[in-house]
Order: sequence, then C-alpha cells, then structure tokens
Amino acid sequence: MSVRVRMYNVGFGDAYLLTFPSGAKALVDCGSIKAGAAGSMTDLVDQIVDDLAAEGAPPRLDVVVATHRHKDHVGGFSRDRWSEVEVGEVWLSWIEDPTDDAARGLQARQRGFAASLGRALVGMHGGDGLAAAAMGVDEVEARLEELADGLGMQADGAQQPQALAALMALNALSNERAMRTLHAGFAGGPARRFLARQAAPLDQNVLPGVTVHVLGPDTREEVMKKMDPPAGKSFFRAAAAGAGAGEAVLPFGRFELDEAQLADHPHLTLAPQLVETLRGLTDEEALLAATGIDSAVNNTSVMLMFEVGDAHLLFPGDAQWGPWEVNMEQGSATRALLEKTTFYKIGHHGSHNATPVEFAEEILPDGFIATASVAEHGRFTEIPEHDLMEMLRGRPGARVLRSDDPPAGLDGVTINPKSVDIVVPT
Amino acid sequence: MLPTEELRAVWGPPCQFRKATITLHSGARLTVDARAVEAFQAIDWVMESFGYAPRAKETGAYHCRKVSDEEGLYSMHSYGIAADYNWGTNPYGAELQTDMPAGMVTAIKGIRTASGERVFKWGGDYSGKKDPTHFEVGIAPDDLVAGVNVVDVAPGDAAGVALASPATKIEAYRDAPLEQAESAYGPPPRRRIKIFAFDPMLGRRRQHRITIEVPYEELRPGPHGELISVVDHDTKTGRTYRPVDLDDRTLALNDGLDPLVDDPRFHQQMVYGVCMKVVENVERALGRLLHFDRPLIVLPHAFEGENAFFERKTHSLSFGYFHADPDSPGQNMPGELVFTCLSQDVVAHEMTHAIVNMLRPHYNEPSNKDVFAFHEAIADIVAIFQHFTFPGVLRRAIQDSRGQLGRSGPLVQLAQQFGQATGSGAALRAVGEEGRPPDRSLYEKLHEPHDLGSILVSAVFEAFFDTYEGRIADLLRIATGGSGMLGEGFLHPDLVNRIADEAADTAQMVLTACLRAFEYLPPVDVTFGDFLRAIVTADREANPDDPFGLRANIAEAFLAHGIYPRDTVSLSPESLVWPVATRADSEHRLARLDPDLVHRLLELDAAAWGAERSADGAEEAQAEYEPYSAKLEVIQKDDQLRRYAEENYHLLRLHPDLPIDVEGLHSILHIDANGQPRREIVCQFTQVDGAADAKRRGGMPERGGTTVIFASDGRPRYVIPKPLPHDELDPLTRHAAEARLAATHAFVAACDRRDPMLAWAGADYAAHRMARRFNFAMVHHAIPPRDASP
Repeated sequence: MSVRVRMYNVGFGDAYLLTFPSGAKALVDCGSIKAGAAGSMTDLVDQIVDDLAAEGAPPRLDVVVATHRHKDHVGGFSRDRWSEVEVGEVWLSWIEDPTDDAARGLQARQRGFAASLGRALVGMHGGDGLAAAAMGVDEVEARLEELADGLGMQADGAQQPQALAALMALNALSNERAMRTLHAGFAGGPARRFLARQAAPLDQNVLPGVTVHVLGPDTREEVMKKMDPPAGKSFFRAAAAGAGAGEAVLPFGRFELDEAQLADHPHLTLAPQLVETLRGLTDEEALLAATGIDSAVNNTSVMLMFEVGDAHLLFPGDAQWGPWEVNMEQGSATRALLEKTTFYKIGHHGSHNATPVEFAEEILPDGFIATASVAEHGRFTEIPEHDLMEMLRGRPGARVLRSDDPPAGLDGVTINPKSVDIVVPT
Repeated sequence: MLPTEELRAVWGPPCQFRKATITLHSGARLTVDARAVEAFQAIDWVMESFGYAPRAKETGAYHCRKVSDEEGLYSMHSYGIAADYNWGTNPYGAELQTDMPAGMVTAIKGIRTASGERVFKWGGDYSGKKDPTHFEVGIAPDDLVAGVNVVDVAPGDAAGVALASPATKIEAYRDAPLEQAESAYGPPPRRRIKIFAFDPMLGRRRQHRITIEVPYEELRPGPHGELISVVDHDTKTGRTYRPVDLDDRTLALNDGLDPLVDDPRFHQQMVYGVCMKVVENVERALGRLLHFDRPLIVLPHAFEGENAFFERKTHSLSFGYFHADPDSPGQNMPGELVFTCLSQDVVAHEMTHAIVNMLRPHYNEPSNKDVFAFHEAIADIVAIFQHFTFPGVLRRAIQDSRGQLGRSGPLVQLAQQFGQATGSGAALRAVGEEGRPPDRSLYEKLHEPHDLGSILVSAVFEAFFDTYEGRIADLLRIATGGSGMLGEGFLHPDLVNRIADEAADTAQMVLTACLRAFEYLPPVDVTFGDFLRAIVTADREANPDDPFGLRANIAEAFLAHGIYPRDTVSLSPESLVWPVATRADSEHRLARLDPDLVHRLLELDAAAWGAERSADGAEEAQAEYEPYSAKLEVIQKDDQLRRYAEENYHLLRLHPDLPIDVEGLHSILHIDANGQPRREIVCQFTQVDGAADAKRRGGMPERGGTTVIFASDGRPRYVIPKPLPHDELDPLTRHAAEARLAATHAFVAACDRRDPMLAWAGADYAAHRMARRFNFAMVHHAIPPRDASP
C-alpha cells in the first residue's frame, strides 16, 4: 500500500496531487509565477483536470487545499476548467474565513499593504505618484508586470531591487479570481473548512484512512504577529511624494536656494556619492517592504501532515521561521510528529528560510523523500538555495528531487511528461 | 628676494600674527598673514584665469610647526607666508613633477610689487629636491603695502582668458573687507544656542525652550564647523535651504534664532547645537578632544519618512520628516508635520552613533547579538542623560515629582513626539516601565537591537536612580528635621536646587563612567558583559574612592537585568575590574613599551590640547599638518608599536601567524587616588583571519584584537583581549575564543532564519548580508510597532 504523490511541473509554484490508498484524492495548491518547461499555467490546469477525468467521470477531488493566498500557490484556480471538477471539501487557512473578524482585519491589512506597495512602485517608476495612487488593482498588476519585465540588471550585475520588489508585490496582490473559485467555483458545492493549528487530528471523513494533523497557521498572538505586514506606512507616502517630482511637502519655499545662491556656499556642496547612497536606500526600503509582506503572507500558510500507516507526508506551504519554531519546540508532540516525516514538500520552493537547518539536519529521519517544486527564475537566484539542497541530498538514504529537473532512475519515482510521480509506502 | 633667515626676522614671530582667511575661487580656503592677503589673492586670480582649481583637501597655508627641534626653527607656513596647492599632484621629490601649466607658474612668479619687485618664490625652482606645490612670499611685509600687480603674462598664455586689467581685479580684492579677521578680544570660550529641550510638541510650553552652551568654534554658514557640517539638502526633492549663519552679529548676540518650527534655519541651528552638546559631553568624559577623519555631514531634512540614521560609508546623519498619523497622532495635530531633526533625543541618539563609530569602528559588525544593541543603548543613554544637563528642566521635574525621579516623565523618556506621531500612543522608548521589576530572562530572549539595548539602558538607569537616592537621602533628612518624610505641598526652592545639583552630578558621573568605559573595551565583538567590566574598571580608575557606591549599584542593576560577564567568578566590583596586566611576581611579564615612544605620543597629543577648533582644521586634517597624522607617521615610520605587539603576541593573546594592525592610539588623563594627574596611553591591536568562512559569518571578517592600556612610563596596566583561537592559547582562553566564534555563527544563523530578504535578494545580498541587515537606516526602519493591536 502506498500514497502516490504527483508533482506537476508548474514552473515556479506548487501543484501536488495526492492519491491515498483508499483512492481518495487531494490537491495541494495550484499556482505559478513563472512557467516551466511543461507549459503555461493554463496547460497545466488542463493536464490536471484531464488526469482526473481519466480516472473517472466526472473529474473529482475529495479535498482541495490552498495553503496561502500567493499567486504561485493559488493562481491556477483562476482558470475556468475548475467548474468541471467536483470537489468534496475545500481547506483554507483561517485567515480566509469571511466570518472571522480578526482574520478579516489581518487580510485587509495584508492586501492593503500589497496594493499600496504596488502603487508606490508604479509611482516611483511611472513618475506620477498621484495617478498611481488612484489606480485600480488590475491596472497596478499590469503595470507591475511591465515593471518587473522592463527593469534589467544593475550595472554591476546585481539584482535590481525594484524589479524584485515588483515581483513580490505581484505575488501578494489579492488574487481575487482564484480565491472566488476556491470559495464557490467548484462543482458539487463543496463545504469550506478554515484550518488553524490544533492539537488533535482534524475531524474529517473525506479522506478515509488518513489522519490529518494541522500544524499551522497558528491563532496565538505571538505567531500571528508574524503575519502582520511591516510597520512604516510613511514609506508609501514618501515614495508617492518622491514620484511627484519634488512635490513640496515642506512649507519652506521662501528659504530655498537657487543655483546662483548655492554657488556662494561651495562648502555646502554634497558629494554625488552621498546623494546616490541616500537615494539608493529608498530602493532597499521598497525591497524590505516587499519581502516583509511576502513573509507575512507565507506565515499564514496551512501546514499539514498527512499520516497513513507509516507514511507521513509533510506539506508546510511556505511557512517561515515563526510557525516552524512553534512546531519544533523540544519535547513537543509536534516535534515528535515531524521526526516521523517520510515525504517532505520542501517549503517555499527551496529557499533558505522556509526549511530550518535544525529540521533538515536533525529532525528529518534518514531515508526521506523531499521535493522542491521550482524553476530557474532568473531573478530569484537564491531559490532553491544550493546549500540547503546539498544538505538534504547528503542525508543517508535521502531522495531529493526538483520538479524542473527530476533525476531518472530514482527508486519509486516515475517521470511523466508534465509531472513526476513519487510512491510513498505506507 | 630675501634669504630665509631674513624672512623669518621681518615677518616673525612665528604663529603669532594677525591672520586672515581667504576663500579661493575653487572654494578651498587659505589662512595667511593678513599683510600678505593681496599677494595670495593675486595667485588665486592667476590660477582662476588658467582654469587651475586648488582642491580643498590638498591645499593649505598656515600651520604652526617646527622644521627642526635642535635649532627651534619654524617652517615658513608658521609665518603665514607660504601656501601649498594641490600637493597630491605636485609631489615633493628629486624630479620635478607638476600639473601646473608653465604659463601659469610664470604668471605667478610675475606677480610684482608696485616697485616692480617679484613677490613669490616657487618650490619647483629649488636646486635640491623640488617642491612644486609650494609658493612662498620672498620679500618683507613693508614692500607689499603698496599693493601687487600681475605683470609677466603674455596675452596668449591664459588659455583664452584675456588678462586685460589685472589691476582692476586686484583693486576689487583690496576693497573687499578681510574675511573673518581675528577679533581684538580673542574668541569667546562658549557659544549659546536656543533649542527645544525635547521636541516641538513638548516645546509648546515655554519652559521646554531653552538655551544651551556648547564649545565655541568659528563657523561658516551651515552651520559648518570642524566636526559638523550641516547641509540642508533634501535628497528626494533636490531642494537646498538657506543656511543659518550663527556668526552673524544679530544671531551671535541673540543666542541664535528663536525656536520656530516654520524656519528651516532654526532646524539647522538646533541640530548643530544638540550635536555639539553630545560632542562636549563625550569630550568631557573621555578627557580628550574628538576628531573625525572628515566632517560629519548632517542633513536636517534629508527625506520624507519616519526615520533618522547615521550612514557610515558617507559619514552622514540623515533626518526625516513626516506627517503625524492621521488616526492616532497622540498630542500632535492629525497630519502635523513632524521633524526628527527637532527632537533633541533623536539628534543626540544619531550623533552618538557617529561618535561610537569613530571610537570603535568594528562595532559596526554585528558579530554577536549584543554589538548593535550596545550601539543603540549607548545612543539612548547619551540622549537621555543629556536631559539632566538642562537645569531648568531638571528643577521642574524634581518639583513635579517631589524629588522622586522615577521611570516616568519627560526626563527619562525618549522621543515623545516621534513615538506619539507614529501612532504608538507613547514615547518611542523609556528607561524602563514604572513599577515593573526587570525580567532577568528577557536578555536571553530578545534579538532586535533596540529591544535588547533597552535592557542595558534600563540597567544603567537603575544604577543611576539607586545612586541618586542614596545621595539625596541626607538632604531629605535635613529638610524634614530628620524624618526624611516630605510633607504636603511644594518643595522649598532651595531644596529643589540642591536635589537638582545632586541629580545633575550623579547623571554626569554615570554618563562619564559609561563613556570612559570605551577606553577599556576590546576593539572587536563587544558584549554587555564586557561593558559591565569596562565601566567598573573605568570608574575605579577615575573615581577610586567611590563614595556613593556607584560600582556596587551598577553590578547589582546589571545582574538584575540578566547581564553579567561569563568569565568572572564573582560580581563584586573588585572581581569585575579587568585583570591588571603586570604583577611583580609573574614569571611571564609583559614588556614595557619604550618610554621614548610614550613620551613622543604624549607630546603630540598635548599639542592638540587647548588648540582652537575651526573648520579649516578639518580641511587640513588629512594633510601632513595635522597632529593626528603626525602621530600616525610616528607609528608607521618606526613601526615600534607593531613590533612591540609582535614581540609580545603571546601575552597580548594575539595570533602568532596573522598580521597585526595598530588601530586606535591616544592618551587619556585622569586624577588618581592620590589626587595626582595620571596620563595613560590606550592602544588597540587587531587581526583578521582571512581564511575564515565568510559565508557562515554573513560576510563579516573574522576579527580578533586586544586593547592595551600603558602607564606613562610604558608599563602595561590592562590587557583586554578578544583572541582568535590558536594553539598557543591556554585551554580556557582557547575555549572562550572558540565559543566567541561559535556565538557569531549562531547569531548569523538566527538572523538568517528571520530574514525574508535573504530568499529573494540574490547572491550579492547573501554574501554581505550582515552588513546589509545591520546598517543603521534599516535597523531604525524596522522599529517594531509598540502597540500590536490594529
């Protein structure tokens, strides 16, 4: 008996189809921000639905899990074909619960932050902060895409911070259409469940014979704090003002010096390097804000462990250090559970901060299988992180594979044209 | 042309003459004998005509120095009749090497007096080694009285510039008033400047608009002084605002502009005043003058944003401005413009960062979790203790609190307006929370530099309050007929004044101890525990009797906050003092430093004492003229200190196979237990292990180093090492050295786990990630919201 894990080659994103011994099926995420060799997101959605249809009509999923509201995890749900698929239950993070006030507040802050960041970036580049401030989210999205594509590398070959920030802002925009499908777009009128970390296994009957442990997201305040967007709203105002080509914020007009008067005070001339450095800090701030909101949304990830017999399949979404820390606490039941992991979906496409070193080195038992769903992005050169992948590969008996480059001939692994099948024995 | 001896006779005495400073067409400035002004202006006019620009940093004239000790002769620069132009491109040497056009040199040599006599000699004509940077007046002052003319110029010489009427130009110079001629009364010792005691929000009350005194220096509009140059440029909008001229008669007589939020010139004035107050406090505590390698550029309105920071690479302080939170502005108007440069606390905090950066440059590398927190803590400590130097504010606080200076009230809170305007509903930080005992375990839990730094701040203030209460107990008993229990109603003004004196004195004492501790800190990788040991050592040196029990109070307060050194057996002040280096009975005696070298260093430092501050000093700082450079020269040329370190590497705990750098070097002065002045030399040696794993260290070099204090006879007194592990260390020290490096790795890993940037920002970020995370702009930006609720 075994669980089949089918990892679709969606590029830079996640889509995992699990088939349990009972025949029940669960899809964990479906999204991408950069297509891989297997085709566009639309192609992949077609493939998934076709695969399901091949195994019975109408195509059916017992559970759809959307770990968190990032394009690379839910973007694919915006495609029309999902209306053909009958779904048993949809599992979402408690942050998506429209009846929960705390969730609504948090989500509003996250969405508001992402949209403001997007507008600020568009304003900084388009040169018109006021127009950018009035833009709708759709237009912001279009402009951000142009921005991310248009900005080349910096002269020294380093990444252009604003392009990175634009990509992250894009990822964090609301993804409304995909979320509509998840809430109400599947056939069969599935029930929604809003998951939060809990001690007891999930009380469910859609996946018979499977014990589902919910390790995140947390509802405790200290962990929730990590889901709040960064402080410092003034950054957006500053960015917008800067874009307005010197819009006078300060009422000091009459004290301003013109060129000729400046020439009278040669000792007040600033070195160009100083002005450049100080201006460059704005770009760095934009990137800081972008990574901050990215990390905040990642920390809302549903983090699941599916237990079937001896098989323990860990799907942590893109959870970062905060949620991991809680679950790795010494002597805790969750740590004991993590120590049984046989299949690990590598968090956040293999970035350094979604897989704690302690987990990779000490907690994961020998002989595990780990997969990273990823494509070379060009911009994100540190994902997946080389050291992390090597560390995992170096563990005794480990089988580690990437969706974009699965090694042939690995035991229990079958390579399909647009996906990879992994057999996890129970 | 007169021979040199005669020139000395007719122009002398050296260094004592009426000086005048002229601004050259390029902006560079020269100080010369007032009688030779016109001659030097003629040179500048020729240079301008030829498009030749003297660079400020490579050009200078007056400097008081001897050329030879034996004969007591002074250089011609000491007479204000010689100037060097662009010495970088006109070096001294056997071969003539110059970038000056030949026609220009001819024209300068052709500057003649009314009677047709040549005025200047050129160093490029010397028969021995050539000195083309150097022009020197070769005639007597009387010959210059009738004015000079530029004569020997062929019309085609001056690259397209017609030299039609040199006389007119010279005439114009002659009529212009001498710039900043010295006052017949000499410079005043102090400058008085009006500021907001805290910020404009509290400054709405009259008692919070005060006048402070700072050391006097001649200022150019900006204010632009030796250490600080205020440039009111907004980097985002590209605007520059009119600079304030504090040397203007009106302003000088009125202690500057009145506190006014609407006038950027007041902002410039306040920033300058507060920065100089910090300088003064630090200089007082350290017993020596501070020198920056280059002036600190201060931008009072650098950008819009809730931030202010010290930027190291460009050596600048940037202050932001922003609109108060529209929904939760505290006591500000919603949307009110808030200027961080008008917050005493923010300015003092940032200025302290700049000074700490100068005192211990390697503390910019967060090699353990304490390092940046220490930076932040010292900055807060200096900013808050500065409140105690405002007598009126202090007296009022004492009256209001009935002598119970506690952990609330403006005196012990930091940046009230800033905190409230950003929606937190409270001051940015305070020295602790009223009525809440310190939590010993907090130190282990916290990582964020400001939070962690707050623990140190709280500990220092607890020691301060304990000492202060001990000092006023007798006053309270005297005032209450022995009961010590104050009755109802107002305190007697005399009592308030006496209590205020005690409070101010105690504050000064604690601040001095905190700052003097720097002399006793290792050059790299500081921890709070090191600071505790250093502060106790510093205070024992400066204040051997400790009549108020400050040292025990410090040790107790630090322990209560979970701060204690990991390498001492007991917390008694005697055990906390760094071990004394030489013991008579020791077999391994650390050698003396050559007393001759010590004497030369002391002499060089002594020359700087009492010297006047001026903006020109800063421009010449990198030149050979500066005593500091002379000092470096002594070290570099003779290499004696390095050799000393190499010979004694074992007892200094230095690594035998790595090169040793001599970094800090200065003398300090204090009064010993017998009331005698004692001068000592503080020296820092550092090493870098280039083979260390830079990736694991987040791009930070692996440094070790040792601070050594020498007595004035060359005897080593304290050795404060942070060694790199190597085989020759004793097992205990080696273990500690390894643990230190492991702590760095652990800290970098902890930061990696929490840093979302690392995943996205690329290899360049990853390679230098600790520096990128821990620049002050970003650290300050990441101030966590105090109030977590939406």
